Amino acid sequence: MSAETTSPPAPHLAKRSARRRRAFQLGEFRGLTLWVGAVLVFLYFPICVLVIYSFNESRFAMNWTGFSTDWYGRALANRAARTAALNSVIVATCATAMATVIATAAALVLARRNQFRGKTAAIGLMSLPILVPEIVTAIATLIFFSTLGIRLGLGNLIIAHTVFSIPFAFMPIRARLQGMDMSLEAAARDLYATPWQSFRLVTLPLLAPGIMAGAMLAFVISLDDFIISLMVADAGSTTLPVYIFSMIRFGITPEINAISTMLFAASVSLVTVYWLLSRPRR
Amino acid sequence: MLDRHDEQGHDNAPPAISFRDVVKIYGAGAAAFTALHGADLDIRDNEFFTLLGPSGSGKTTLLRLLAGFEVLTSGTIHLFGAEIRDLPPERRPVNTVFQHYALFPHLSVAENVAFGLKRLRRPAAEIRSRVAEMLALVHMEHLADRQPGQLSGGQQQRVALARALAPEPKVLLLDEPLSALDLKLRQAMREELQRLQRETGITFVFVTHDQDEALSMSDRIAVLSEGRIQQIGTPDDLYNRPYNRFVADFIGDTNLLEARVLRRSGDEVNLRLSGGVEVTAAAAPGIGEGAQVTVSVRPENVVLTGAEAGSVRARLVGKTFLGASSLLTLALDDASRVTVRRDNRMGHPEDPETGAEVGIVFAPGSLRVLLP
Repeated sequence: MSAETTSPPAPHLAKRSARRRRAFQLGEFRGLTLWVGAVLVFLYFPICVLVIYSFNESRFAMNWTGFSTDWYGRALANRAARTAALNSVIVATCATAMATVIATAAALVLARRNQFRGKTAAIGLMSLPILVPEIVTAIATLIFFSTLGIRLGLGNLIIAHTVFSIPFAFMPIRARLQGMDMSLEAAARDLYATPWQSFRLVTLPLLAPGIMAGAMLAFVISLDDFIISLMVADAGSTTLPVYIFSMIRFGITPEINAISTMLFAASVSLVTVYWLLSRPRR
Repeated sequence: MLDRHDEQGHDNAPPAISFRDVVKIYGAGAAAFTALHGADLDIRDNEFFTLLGPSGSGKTTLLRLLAGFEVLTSGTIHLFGAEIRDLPPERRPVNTVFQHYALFPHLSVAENVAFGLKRLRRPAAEIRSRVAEMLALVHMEHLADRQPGQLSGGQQQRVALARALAPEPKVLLLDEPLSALDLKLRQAMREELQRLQRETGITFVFVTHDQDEALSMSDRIAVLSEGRIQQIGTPDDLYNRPYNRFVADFIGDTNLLEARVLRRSGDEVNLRLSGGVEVTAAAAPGIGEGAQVTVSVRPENVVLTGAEAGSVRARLVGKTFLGASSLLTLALDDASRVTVRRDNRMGHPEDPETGAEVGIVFAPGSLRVLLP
């Protein structure tokens, strides 16, 4: 660190440290642990119950009679559930692939190109779908498909999922790019790499954790989506969340719990992978 | 103005680099910024050449134009006689050492050094031996398998040098490579860079805002300010024979005195300083009789005498002890200030007391008339 960057302590720093001391005292507040515990119970207790009761022997969900993994067997043998699960995976995989490619291209242009007309607007528009209420997007997508008469079965779902997954894939990729030293690409060009080689040998390997994280996030978002899928899906292209919802109308059975637990486990593992990948590298 | 190389008769060789009327404008319309206003510059083969100037002077722009990272607005750049303005960076036989090194963090030290050679499709055996040779040149052979993140700043600097030298460029560009190092390391790297330049025989173009770095390492220096080249010359030229006020002021310490030209005779002019004293100074082109000019004289060329005839009368108003020397501040009769540097050699006469009336004379040939 050069001498120019060190400066004598300024009055505003003293003020900031006083504020930090007050924040620290809040951290010492005795009831805080209790509060945190209560919030965590509120958040996770229902999920724990769901997981526990998925191992219930009884056919009535809330009446514990004994431990059993029968319902997992039934769930796995349920053809409609299997089809729905397969649909979910196909849609999520295709949508993730397309959304990640589009998001990577967008992030590269927005991070690397110099200021151009509408750059700020473009960044805003990329992230806006996160803020739009999902029901609005769902209805708009439904009207869009029916007006144009697009009836591609799973294809409709893949298109819709790609669109709303893009901003989720975009964010980690853009964050990773912003942390990247632009002179690395200049160095590659300087060392006789063509623009394509510079991208393949330097930009892409360094961007890979961001791209992986974006893909994971897009996959989870697509897998868990309910409202848009409910609106857009045809009879033959039901996804797993939509199927679970239709089962609930006939009463909650441990089979639903079992299916939900499996979906939950898949989501948690993907989010864990995302977290591991997006940790700053040593 | 003559310089060392001209005197040695090397001026028939074609220049390694030749900038002609180079203009660079960033942006367009109202936001346009002119970084270079028509620069002309020749850099010779096997020369340690420095572009020196404050930030925003255009020195880095010149370097980036040479590397191919920026596109010329107008003008030409020739590299050993060949026009390179339309070549992309990967087709120019120049390599760069970046300010913050720009080592590839996902590649090992050896892979970093091999990067350029691989792109040039050199045989694997040649790449291996060349990488080993380059790492030995910068004393980094024992760390070939490390990742750049595991190296200190000085070590990263050495790897960056090895990486840029490995493809045997015709010209090595160095963009303030020492600015991120601490003082001790910076001074050690100066000698290291000079050694590398001598051993490789490659033309070095070095960008810095640090005049000490420029003066201590360079064969020749171009001083830039506000997108214009102010002066090109050896360190001795710039220090002892500055052209204009900017160069005199930017390089080292100096005294700037106002004066009027009385007579001009050949290379010399007779001047009357604003205090009324007449002195002789080296002439500058285009300065005629009656002109109001600024004269530069370095503090070490002002000599204290008694208050006798022929000297300029002055009063001592301040003293700063610097160890090897002291700086004395004197007030002249017209209230202008002059700084004098005195060696603190043992047995030297004591400095006069503050407030004492003294006289000063200027060492012969030490006064320079500056162009505005």
